[in-house]
Amino acid sequence: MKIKRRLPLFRITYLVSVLSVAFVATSAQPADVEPKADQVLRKASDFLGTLKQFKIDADSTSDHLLSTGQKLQHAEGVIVSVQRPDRLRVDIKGERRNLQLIYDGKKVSLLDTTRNLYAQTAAPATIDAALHHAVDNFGIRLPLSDLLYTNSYAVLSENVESGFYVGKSEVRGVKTDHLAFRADEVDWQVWIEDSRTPLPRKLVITLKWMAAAPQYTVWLSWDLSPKWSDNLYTFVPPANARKIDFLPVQQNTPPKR
Amino acid sequence: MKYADSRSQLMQPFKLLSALAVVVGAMAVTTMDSWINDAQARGLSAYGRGAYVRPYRPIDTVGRYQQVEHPAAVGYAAGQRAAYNTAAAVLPYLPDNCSIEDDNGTIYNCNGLYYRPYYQGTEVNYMLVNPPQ
Repeated sequence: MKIKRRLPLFRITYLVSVLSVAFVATSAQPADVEPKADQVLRKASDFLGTLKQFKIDADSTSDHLLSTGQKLQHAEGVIVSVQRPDRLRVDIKGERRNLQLIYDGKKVSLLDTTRNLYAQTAAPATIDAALHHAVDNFGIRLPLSDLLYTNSYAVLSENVESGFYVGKSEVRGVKTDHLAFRADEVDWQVWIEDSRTPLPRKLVITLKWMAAAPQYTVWLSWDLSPKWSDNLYTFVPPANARKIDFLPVQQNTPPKR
Repeated sequence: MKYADSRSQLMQPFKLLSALAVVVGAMAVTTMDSWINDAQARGLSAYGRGAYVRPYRPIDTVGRYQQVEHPAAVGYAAGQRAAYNTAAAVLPYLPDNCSIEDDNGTIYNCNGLYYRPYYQGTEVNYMLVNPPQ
């Protein structure tokens, strides 16, 4: 569902909603996916979709390749706060970047806390629509965004070609079911808690067509009854922060002043 | 023989000129190169052991994404000064010795080239812009 051409916003939103409805209506289990793997993934997605609020505290590592072929690893901590349907906050503190993103139901504000530069854009009224808007128009991708859509099954399984149930496994003391999928661009694995709260506890994504197959690994802790502070979803620019613009997707040359 | 001699004499000034041009050109390119490489060294490779290879797609999402274009060193608009045609259009970090040019503090004068920060996706990049009027 990547939209390559630039379309007016309402057409994108319209297209996205029509496609999602069509997708849900027709989505049988993708080709060559072991029924048990599909079933566990669907159960997790359905459960995630029912949550009204949650907080994820995640640790991740990603591989970065140097032109010499040497592989480096960079870590980051991500805290995702979600209050459905219209509040989202993502705090990233890592070796390569430090970011804060706040969606308050009306706009998306993104702050690079290292450089003290921020940008804002008006956004649609729900988290799902805001995520689509951010991706389609500005190329803003957030770690763990796959799990934030109300229908994460559709997003995760969109390009899946095959998948199977690996087996029972324990992730940081939590009993999980380990699933492995292959998609057109990536291979990915997910470990889903084997309990009445089937939450993803670990996710691994492999860029299989790239030399040395760099990987992203993330471990997730969940808080399903978080206590928010009053101003958690209010963006306040720090002192001396400067406001800049988001460059729209596919605008390859710098804009004129 | 005679013919060849006269020709070589004739060519002498041209040789000198072209040699000069090569030297001047090389100096210009070297200055610009070290400028860009230094920025890349800090922005793309923390260790100075080669630049990061840009992956063919984001590594941290399975599903929906839109690859943001990060044009490398491409010329800006036709008709700009020669420097604009050789300078990097997008830099992940500002080069050294840039001064803030406007009141908002978002346009930088870097040795006569003007850069402005933008978010490309979640990354801040500095893009070559027209000189302020």
